[in-house]
Amino acid sequence: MDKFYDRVSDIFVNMDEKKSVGIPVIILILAIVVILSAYLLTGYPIKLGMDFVGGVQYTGNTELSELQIRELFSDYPLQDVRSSGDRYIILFEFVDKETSDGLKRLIQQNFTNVEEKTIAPAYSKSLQQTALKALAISFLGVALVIFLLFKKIIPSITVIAAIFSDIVITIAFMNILNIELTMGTLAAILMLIGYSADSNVLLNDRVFKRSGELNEKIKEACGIGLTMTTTTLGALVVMYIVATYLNYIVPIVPTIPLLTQISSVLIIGLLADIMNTWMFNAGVLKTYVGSFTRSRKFGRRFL
Amino acid sequence: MNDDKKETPIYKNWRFLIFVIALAISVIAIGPWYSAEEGFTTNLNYGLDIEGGSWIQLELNGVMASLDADPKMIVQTLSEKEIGTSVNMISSNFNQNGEGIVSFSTAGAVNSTRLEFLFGPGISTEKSGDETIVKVESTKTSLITSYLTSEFNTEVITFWDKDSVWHEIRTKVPKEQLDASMKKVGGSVKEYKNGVTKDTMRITIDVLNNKLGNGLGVKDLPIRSVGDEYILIDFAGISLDEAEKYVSNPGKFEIRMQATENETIHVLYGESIVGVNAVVQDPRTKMWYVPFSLNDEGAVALKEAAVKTGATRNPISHNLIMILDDEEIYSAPLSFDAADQLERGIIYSWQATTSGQEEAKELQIHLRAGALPVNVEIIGSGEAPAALGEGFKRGSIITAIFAMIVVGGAIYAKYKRVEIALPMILTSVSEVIMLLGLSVLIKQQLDLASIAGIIAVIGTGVDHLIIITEETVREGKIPSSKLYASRLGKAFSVIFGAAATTIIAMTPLLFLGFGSLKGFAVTTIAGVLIGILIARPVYGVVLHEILMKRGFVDEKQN
Repeated sequence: MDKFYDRVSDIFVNMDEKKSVGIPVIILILAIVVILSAYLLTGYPIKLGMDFVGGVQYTGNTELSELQIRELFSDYPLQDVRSSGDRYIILFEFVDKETSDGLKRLIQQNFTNVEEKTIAPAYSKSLQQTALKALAISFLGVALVIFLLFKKIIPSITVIAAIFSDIVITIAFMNILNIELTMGTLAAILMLIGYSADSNVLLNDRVFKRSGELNEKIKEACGIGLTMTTTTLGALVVMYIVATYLNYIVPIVPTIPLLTQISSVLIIGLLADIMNTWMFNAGVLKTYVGSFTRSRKFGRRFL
Repeated sequence: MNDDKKETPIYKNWRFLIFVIALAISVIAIGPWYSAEEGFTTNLNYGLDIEGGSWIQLELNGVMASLDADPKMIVQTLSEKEIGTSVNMISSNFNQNGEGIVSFSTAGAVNSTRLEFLFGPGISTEKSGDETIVKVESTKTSLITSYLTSEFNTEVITFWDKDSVWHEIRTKVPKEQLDASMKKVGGSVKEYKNGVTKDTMRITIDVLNNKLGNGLGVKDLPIRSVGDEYILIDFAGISLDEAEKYVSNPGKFEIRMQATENETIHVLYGESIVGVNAVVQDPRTKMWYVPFSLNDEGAVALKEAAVKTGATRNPISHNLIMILDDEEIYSAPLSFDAADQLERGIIYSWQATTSGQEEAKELQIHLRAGALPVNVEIIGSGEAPAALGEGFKRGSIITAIFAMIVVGGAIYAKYKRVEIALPMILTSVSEVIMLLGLSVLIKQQLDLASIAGIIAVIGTGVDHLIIITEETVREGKIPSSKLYASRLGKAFSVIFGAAATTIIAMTPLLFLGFGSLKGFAVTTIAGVLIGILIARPVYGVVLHEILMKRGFVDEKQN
């Protein structure tokens, strides 16, 4: 395992600076294109889940097939039927009390173990605002902490850019993989902001607070960082598999959509973070510290 | 230089002691127990999605606004509406404090009780030929209150905030509508926000608690306010149908009057009570009062009952009895003063006297049980069956166990030494135990979101342990104690930075009032704090101790 981290670190450290900064930047631009086109197509940068658009959602076990379910609810504003393990998730538009009573009766006759959730559109609309606010405050707060920690402009901006890119790439992949923004995925994105900062803080600490040759320092940091990220990824992959697939083997464990959502977003985000920390941030640091040592020969200091 | 021998033994290290105590407290708090009848039990509180039950989220339909208006136009508008003919404004004088007098004359029939109901007690009338001259002595603020009450047909409360007077309107009024209404009386909306005051929120929660407590037979339901506008109620083990029934149906409130010794007659129902105000104490008699007001119908009904039973002449033997959900909650005679007034007319504003403040507050809640202080709307609800939750719990436990195994395996693969991997895993497990213990102590419910938080905490926790290990151990060996301490310090500077960012990133979820995500945020933040303050420093100490005892010390390292 040690050798594996060593080899991967070598690949990152020996990468040409232009490549190591360029590739993440290109991927970031592609991600922005994905998000923009989603925005132009749907009016939202990401597919919103029922938490943020409102509606009525039922989850339950049934003998019926998807087609039969669609048939059964043909009189109701059915929006989506999806299977999750041996359960079906059925989504309706928000309906008035009378309709919802009828709907509920029909559900209770045909489904067992029913989980129900209703959210008024007006409230979910206000949740959209709150979600945006949470994301902005979280990001700005972390940016501030980073500035206070590093007290250097270019490294701080680089780390903040890396975190920003992690989020953007994750959101782009959520679009591609059809993962909706729910309360769960929003929490995962905020968690990701915290995780992303970890590896970048480690890298900058090594580069600026230790003595030694730059590439050696980056390589050492990279080894540690990869160990950290892979163990975390390990825990998340377990979460994803148990929450999504265990049901097919052990029926007494239902699928747990919330955990599937949180883990998949964090897995995508952490993969993006590996690239953005060890290629982008490391690449920028190499150029920045390199220019500093070069300029010192001319008697100037940029720190 | 080998100063290791002088070192204090680990059980005297204060960090280690705190760790052991915290761990012990947590285990006691969690209280794992096995009995043949009940199986394995703990004190952990599970959230609704795991335990089964339902939840309802209510929106309080109130707005708060800082307003301005012309008192003269308010008096004119309200009087014309009340009297039914036009009135001629004579004068209007208000001083800087907003106190003053408005006077007008009218040819219409003037009912001063009605006017008092509208404008408060400062009314005086004077006949002058065919016309009546009316003087209204009041304040600008209270006239605005009168206007809003009449305009939106709801209770209006005033309060001070940052040196300006605000009005709380207890119904849903969009800003544009309020703007238009204020323009009609020469005024404007200076500030506007949705929601209700902390006081109103508290009363609403008290009333709901009382009402639901009575209806469902459960004490102390978890009813939480979310911001100024929302209330979230969890109903553990109760179906959504049942929960909704009690939230949307008000309690049945009735006032009856003692007719003969063993006979009472119906006077009015809760709908006739249009306002219940905060309790007040009479500075003279030291008695407590709950002021409440009746609508026309109620006021007339009360007068008729009092006349019919003879209470107007002999109040002492004709108690007024208040009944909530078939239970007598208050019984007292009319005051002689009130009895006398009822003989001649009707009374809108009433006060119920109680002996103590607590009693008064309770009565206030009961009077309200007919209606919440504000209109509420169900904007979200949900139900989770207990059987499904049991499955979620199983899944979560399996996830946590396998996550630990995978993380442990990855660490072992990296360090290939039990002396390092085992303390690491045990530290991580201890963090989870302390987090669970804390959740019991602060009564935090473990729902699926908090379980995801715990797994995320395992992730960051192990990250930090790796940083400590990488920083201090070189080629499987540790340096001398002094150097070890300085390297540990360096590791912690990185860890504290990383922990700060995680905490800051999660903080918005704590304050922005997301229901279930609050659990996720609380768990993550608490987990990170427990980790960096209690568990991870001890890992540093223990790692040093073990590697030293095992002889993995490299004196040459520097």
